[in-house]
Amino acid sequence: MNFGTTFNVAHLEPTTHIYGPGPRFTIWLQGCTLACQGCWNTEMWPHRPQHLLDRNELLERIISTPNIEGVTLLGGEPMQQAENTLWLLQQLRTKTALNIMLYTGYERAELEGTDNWQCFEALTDLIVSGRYEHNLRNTGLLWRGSENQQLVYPVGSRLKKQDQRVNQLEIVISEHGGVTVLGYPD
Amino acid sequence: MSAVIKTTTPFTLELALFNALQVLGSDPIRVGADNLKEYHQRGQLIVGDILTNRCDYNGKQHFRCIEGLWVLRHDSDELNARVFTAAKTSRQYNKVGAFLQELEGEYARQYEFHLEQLAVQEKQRLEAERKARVEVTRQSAITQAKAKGYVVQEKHLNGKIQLVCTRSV
Repeated sequence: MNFGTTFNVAHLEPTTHIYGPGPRFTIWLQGCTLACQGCWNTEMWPHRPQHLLDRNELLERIISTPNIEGVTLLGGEPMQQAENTLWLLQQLRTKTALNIMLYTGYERAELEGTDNWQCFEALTDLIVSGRYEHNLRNTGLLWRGSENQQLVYPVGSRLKKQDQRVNQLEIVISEHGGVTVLGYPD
Repeated sequence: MSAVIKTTTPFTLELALFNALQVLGSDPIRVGADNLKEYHQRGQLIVGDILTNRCDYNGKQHFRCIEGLWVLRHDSDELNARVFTAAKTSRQYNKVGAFLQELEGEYARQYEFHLEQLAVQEKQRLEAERKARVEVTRQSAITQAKAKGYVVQEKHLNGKIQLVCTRSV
């Protein structure tokens, strides 16, 4: 499905602390056809519209969010909204000093050599790549859920390499007591 | 791959909920002694329930006040669920999760509007109740996380409480 210059978004958190270093604006995109067995976010698989958000509006929201150091995109599958994702990353690189982290279920080998991969490498500071493999599930890996997934720091990355063994969760309690749990629960 | 697990905001204020449902076009109807027999439902309706125009296998999805919280009662299978308006035209049916998320936003707006209309004392009482509810949730989350061996860092951002839980492996 193509929504033009509109993102199909599953979930937004203006400030998270567990999807990369420092406080980050985090965007879960809606739609993924990779269908990893045991995926924790199956409701983010369908490409039918969830929350359609104009890419300029999303950019504005990110730029106007105070006290963040970076932006993280995950999903769903950001590569399946590649055109808008690339546009957003280009804008962020041009207009802000925010570092950029991107999750993709595609293996590095599947994408290497493609134009998209080269662009994503040039625009991001960290790519977490690879399918979620349920039989390799490990909730003690920094920023990823299964052993096969790789942290790729592209040449020119502005981030220091990290790979501690920790398990992280973030619990967000809204003003009215609604609870959102993010991360890697047991 | 990481999880996003969301629970619904506790809807506590009937008027804010009712108005929010109206704004979202869910055509809310209060069930009273006078109209109780008009509606056919698998599982009994009771006086006080709030019906919506969202229909599923069991009939109209509705809210019921259970221990002070308004809870949406619906069939877990949404296969043939639909919206049925007074004009008998079927509109786009949002899945329960998406519907509740949308409702949550409108409920917060209606709650604020309601506060604006209230006398100071009543406003303070409602706000105290809300804060107490949030505090219970906060304490419970911290206790559970610590019991599982997490170190909990607490942050307050834009009215939200964020608990960053880290456990060395």
